[in-house]
Amino acid sequence: MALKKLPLSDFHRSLGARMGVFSGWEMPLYYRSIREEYFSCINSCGLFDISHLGKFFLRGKEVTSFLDYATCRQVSKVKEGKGKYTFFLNWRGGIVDGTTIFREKEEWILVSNAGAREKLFHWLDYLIKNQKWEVEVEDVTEKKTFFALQGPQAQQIVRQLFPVPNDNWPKFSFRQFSPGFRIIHLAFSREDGFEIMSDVSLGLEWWKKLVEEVERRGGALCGLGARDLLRFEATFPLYGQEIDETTTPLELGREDLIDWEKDDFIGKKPLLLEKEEGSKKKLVGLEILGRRIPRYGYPLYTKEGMPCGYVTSGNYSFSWHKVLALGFVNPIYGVEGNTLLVAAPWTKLEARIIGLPFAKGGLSI
Amino acid sequence: MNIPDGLLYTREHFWVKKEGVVICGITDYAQNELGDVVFVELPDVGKKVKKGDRIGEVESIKTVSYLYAPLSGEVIEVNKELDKKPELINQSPYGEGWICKIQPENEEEFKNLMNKEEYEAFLKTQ
Repeated sequence: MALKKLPLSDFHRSLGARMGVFSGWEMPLYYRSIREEYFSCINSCGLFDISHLGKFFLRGKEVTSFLDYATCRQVSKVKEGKGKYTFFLNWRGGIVDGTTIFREKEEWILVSNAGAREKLFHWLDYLIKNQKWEVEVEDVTEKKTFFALQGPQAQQIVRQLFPVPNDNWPKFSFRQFSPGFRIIHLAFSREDGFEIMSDVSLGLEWWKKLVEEVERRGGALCGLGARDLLRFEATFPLYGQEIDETTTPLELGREDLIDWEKDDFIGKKPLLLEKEEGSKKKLVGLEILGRRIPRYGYPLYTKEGMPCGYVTSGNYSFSWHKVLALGFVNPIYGVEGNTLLVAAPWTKLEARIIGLPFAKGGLSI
Repeated sequence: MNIPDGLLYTREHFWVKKEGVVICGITDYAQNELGDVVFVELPDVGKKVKKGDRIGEVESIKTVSYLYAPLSGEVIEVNKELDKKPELINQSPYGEGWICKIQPENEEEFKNLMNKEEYEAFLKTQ
């Protein structure tokens, strides 16, 4: 399969971006340094091109009841101009994808993880056709550019560049700047942020304006390296690492994202059973002693040498000066304060289980 | 890409500077490939190493990479500053980001190292 390129790929290269591959896309990993970009997002602002994320429009007479049935949150309660983070589950309660969805009159905008885009599209298509829902899904991923502005100055930049009503603009709500041009108050980070979605034809013009404003304020262009560290510190799950079809929201520790009071939704029965019988694994935070970074898939052991889980993400936190990791463990061993061992090449690392989220802030706002 | 004149280079992207003893570190190309370095495991002072031995490792946000001795000899000093400021490797790979000093034991081994032009040509094959 050919690598997919961002609409502004050449432009990123000309700005010095170091490119790498993520979920089939050639993406900027960093422009200057992950450390500098990370701190820009903490202290001033950072600008990311996240056009690789899956973007769908869902419409049709039954779209809202369909989404109520196909995800585990009560999306029918979402008001126009607002949105939610929710999971699409399979019949076993496993996560097909974690997405944000936004309501615009009778149309919904859905943003998916890049790595789950095709799969989610086929899953929705299958459900709609098989169960005869009056719903239409359009994948507009490659027709839209999508930028993220993160950091304490993000709000000021948005106010300056986009004259939209901006008082009382809570997180998980969006404003229309012009037809098809939406600004969402949301960040994949502990920090504040906004995401800007427009037609590809307007992308370059607005990217340039945003770059100019971000640089004027001493912010930075940022790549996926900084984005991953920021989402990791905020304990937001990433598809292919914390999230996959073998993992349920309960195992992630996110029962708050399940609206049990709904009559029925895909995955409800197996989740109820899991709640009754207990989960098979549990997501835990790990503080690593030393400064080796565990990577996805490194096995976890008890001190006695029993295999008990695996690492899903690891990173060095520049803010806390610590190596941290996320991983799934057998719930018996997933007790805060317990010490586990991580098998890394050539060595074993000691890891202490700590509470999640690493930092407050997040998806349930 | 900064490849200073007057240094010698290995295929494992180490640079070597001969000043009686040998000072060495990783090249600008290598630090750029690794990205942000967050941890350096340095060799022990006094350790006798053979050319090509694994003498330490560099952990970056993206990956872990190993350090291979550019020459045989005895490690006589290591850059302790890297414990506190591993980012010196990114900021100044040929200066403050040096890794260790080795007392070489075999002058013949210098012949197998590359000069600037040879290293440049080698990088094109990478």
